[in-house]
Amino acid sequence: MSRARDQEDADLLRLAAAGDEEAFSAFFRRRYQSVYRFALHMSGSPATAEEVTQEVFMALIREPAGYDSERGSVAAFLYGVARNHVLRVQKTERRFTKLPDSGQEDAGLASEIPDPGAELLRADEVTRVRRAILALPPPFREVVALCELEEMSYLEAAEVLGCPVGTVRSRLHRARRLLREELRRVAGGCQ
Amino acid sequence: MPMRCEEFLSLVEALGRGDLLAEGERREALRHAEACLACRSELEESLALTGMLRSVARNSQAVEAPPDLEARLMSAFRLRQAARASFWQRHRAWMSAAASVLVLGFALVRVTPRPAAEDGRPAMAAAKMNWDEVDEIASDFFPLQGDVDLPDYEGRGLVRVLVPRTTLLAFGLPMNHERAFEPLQAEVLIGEDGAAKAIRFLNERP
Repeated sequence: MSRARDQEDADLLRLAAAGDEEAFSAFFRRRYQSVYRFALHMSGSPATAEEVTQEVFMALIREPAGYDSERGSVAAFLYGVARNHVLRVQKTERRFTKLPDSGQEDAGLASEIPDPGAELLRADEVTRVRRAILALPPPFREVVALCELEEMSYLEAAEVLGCPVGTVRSRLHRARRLLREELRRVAGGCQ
Repeated sequence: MPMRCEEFLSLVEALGRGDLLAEGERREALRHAEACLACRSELEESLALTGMLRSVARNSQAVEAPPDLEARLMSAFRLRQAARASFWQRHRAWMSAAASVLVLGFALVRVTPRPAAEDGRPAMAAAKMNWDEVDEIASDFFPLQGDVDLPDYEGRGLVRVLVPRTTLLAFGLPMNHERAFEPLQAEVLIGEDGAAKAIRFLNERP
């Protein structure tokens, strides 16, 4: 999330708020894939990720002045809105813990994401890790999604989550330990 | 003093993901891992996890949102802009309002005037009276012009139009994506000045 990129985003949003369709289109194209990916990492459901991404940008269409540059970067704003939508969906639908059993066909994230060229073992490994991430409680899942999968710094993640950097660091430490335990457990079960 | 296991374990994830540590702290931790089999195993597992997470991150770069998402949102953006323009131009009478309706209903294929109630009551009330005659469920009216007081509004009638289903998005309503390409029936409330005042959406009764 470079400062220059964020300034460009803010400029595009300002133009879009004034009704500039090209600016909105350019802004959308710069950001929607990362919002979708984050929602997918958080939910494990392509349908939820699509719904959340749509909601994030619809919120900007409905209320173009919703973003306040005084309160943080555009990217942090988008991820923050996406996170709130995912958590809302999670609360109402409780679909995040419904992971398929090992060996079952995964109808969600694992089967949706193409893995061209990957060896069978690697694809299996990726699927196992994704399942383990989805099994994490939301506060831990979101730091993994932001810091490990979206490769944000602790500071950027703290901005998205609205918490101190130290909290992000400690949550990620705990999340990684939980992930290792889960992967160890699954590996043990497969033997 | 040599580092203890407890201290090492508090740093192992930072070491495993390559976080920046104080040089002395890092050196002590690695020295501890060389001497302690259990802690070395923890570090190796943490390093392996970092590798796996990077694989997942790389793999995720191939993920793409559905290609029609942009088209849907751009359509919603245009409709919202049209609705805003309608709000600010409300003093223009028929031509302005007709343009709003045309933008909202560019897929207009059928227009069916509905008469006002015979007793002279407002058209909205008439629409409610006739409610059971139609096999539909309507949304509330959404003003096309910002200051319309719908409950007290005395209009002339309703016109039935077909609008793109994505129009729902512009008004913050949910849309059934499986039917995204099917037009949706709506009713436009026409004021005494002939201008479009509000719109509501009709759905087939389940």
